[in-house]
Amino acid sequence: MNCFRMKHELTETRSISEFPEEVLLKILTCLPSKDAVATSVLSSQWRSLWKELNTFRFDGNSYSRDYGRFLLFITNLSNLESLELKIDPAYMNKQIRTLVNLAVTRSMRKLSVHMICSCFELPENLFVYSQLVTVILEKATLVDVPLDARLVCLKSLHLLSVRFSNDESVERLLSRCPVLEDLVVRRITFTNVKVFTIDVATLRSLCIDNSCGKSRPEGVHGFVIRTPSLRCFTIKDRFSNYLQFEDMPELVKACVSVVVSDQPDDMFLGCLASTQYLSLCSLTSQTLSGICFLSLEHLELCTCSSEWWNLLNLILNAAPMLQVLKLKLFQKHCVQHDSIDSWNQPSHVPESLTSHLETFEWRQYKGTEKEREAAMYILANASGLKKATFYSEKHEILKELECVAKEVQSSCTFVFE
Amino acid sequence: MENEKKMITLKSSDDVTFEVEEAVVLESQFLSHLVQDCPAPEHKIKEVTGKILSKVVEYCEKHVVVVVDGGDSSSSSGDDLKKWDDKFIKEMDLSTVYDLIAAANYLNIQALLDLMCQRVADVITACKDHKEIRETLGIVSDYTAEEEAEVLKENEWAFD
Repeated sequence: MNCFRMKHELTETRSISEFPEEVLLKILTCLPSKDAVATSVLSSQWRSLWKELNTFRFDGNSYSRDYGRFLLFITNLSNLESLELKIDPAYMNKQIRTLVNLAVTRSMRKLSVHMICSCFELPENLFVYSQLVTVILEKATLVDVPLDARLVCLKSLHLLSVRFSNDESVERLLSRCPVLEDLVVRRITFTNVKVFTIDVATLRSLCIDNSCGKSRPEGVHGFVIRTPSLRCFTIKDRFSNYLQFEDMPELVKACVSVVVSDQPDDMFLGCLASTQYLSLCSLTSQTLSGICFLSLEHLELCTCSSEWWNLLNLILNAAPMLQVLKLKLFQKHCVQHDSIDSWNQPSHVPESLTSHLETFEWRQYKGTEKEREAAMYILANASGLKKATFYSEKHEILKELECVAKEVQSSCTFVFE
Repeated sequence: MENEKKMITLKSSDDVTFEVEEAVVLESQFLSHLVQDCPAPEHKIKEVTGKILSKVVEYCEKHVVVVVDGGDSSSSSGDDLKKWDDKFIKEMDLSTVYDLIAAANYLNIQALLDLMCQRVADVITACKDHKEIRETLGIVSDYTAEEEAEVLKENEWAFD
């Protein structure tokens, strides 16, 4: 990289031709393969450049007629590591098998298939013989994996709007991935799966998106998550009425936005207790008795629930190392209650406020009497606070807050926007 | 205060200075080594102009990972970051894109390099034929007519 020429004066313009080969290849990798190959005609420097590529893309939206020729082109390549396909299965349900077979026989590392419309079946040999490390499927239907399936190399799996036959199909697929580390699940509302069970001991990163669609399915539906090695956990769920988590002792970062409420066993917060970073939007009113967030340094809390002040209070009491506290509405669907209807001054000041809190931010601050009391309480007790920021639509609310805030907190920087 | 964040000053080739937090500098492999090996309060980057360095700093400040250990692309702020990236490259002229590619490559900031390469790829995709690509990217063909015909024939399927 260091051999790259950088001696340009301000007046001189740079030309693409002087970039090193690895930069040009990076550009080619971003192109559909057809366009990448077409750059061979630009100049002799570009003539054989595309032959260095090992990732090939096909975009069925724009080049559907060429699929046969793309297939022929791909078949003749010697250095095929990764395929990214965006295809219309209406007329190529059989041909996709040819590509998957290719992925298997050529020991490819990465396969990404995005169907423009739904329904196609992956052939069995993908699960039995493949060397794939990364598999990304979008809008596909998966038939049950064969009993002898073992995706021995698979580390990263994205299941985006993928349909399964039933609950067991999900469990069976995941149980055949002995080294899986990264899983992304995006659910669609119309699905045969009621409870999506993720029981993967090796998983380090999990991202769940169940926020697309309009209506909720009937009956019990949701997620069971057993991932003891998880470090990074994101769930955005507007539909599930059943969530069951198990302890995640390695957790570093958790972003949880869920609507499930008042279910007797939703003690999910306790399973997140090891995290350093927590972003939380939840209607939960559970008590946190016995739970300690000993590593928690950064908390972002959504203010859409009428119980949020209670929840904050509980977490503050259980998180002695907290440095950053941010209050805001997370998403468009989050509607703020007119006031905190449950604000009660806590019986004793939490240790996190007095010891470590340095940054406090409040977005969509409305300035109701109770909100002001809550803000004053935090400002007055956070003796190590360095910066406090308030955002409000109404200027006069901020003005009014500014006057009183500076009386109780003299050592920190205030920003009012 | 003992917890005060460490600040580092970067100076561009044309002597524009930028004061940034250490975490911002760590987004660049090149700069993190520089800062570790030579603990001076100010670092001159002779190869990057003030105009480009300000863009680099803007990008890195936005992309500083919140939790160093567990940060990944699936964080809740991923969508916001993508929107910010789109806005960052939108309407950026090609010569700035080239300068940023050079700077990102030199400073070893992979994510910024990827973003800028994607931008060039988008420009290529938007062109209707190779003549337009040459014109837009400023590439001078050194092919003879025969050679060009040969290349077109070699990869015929790509030129339909």
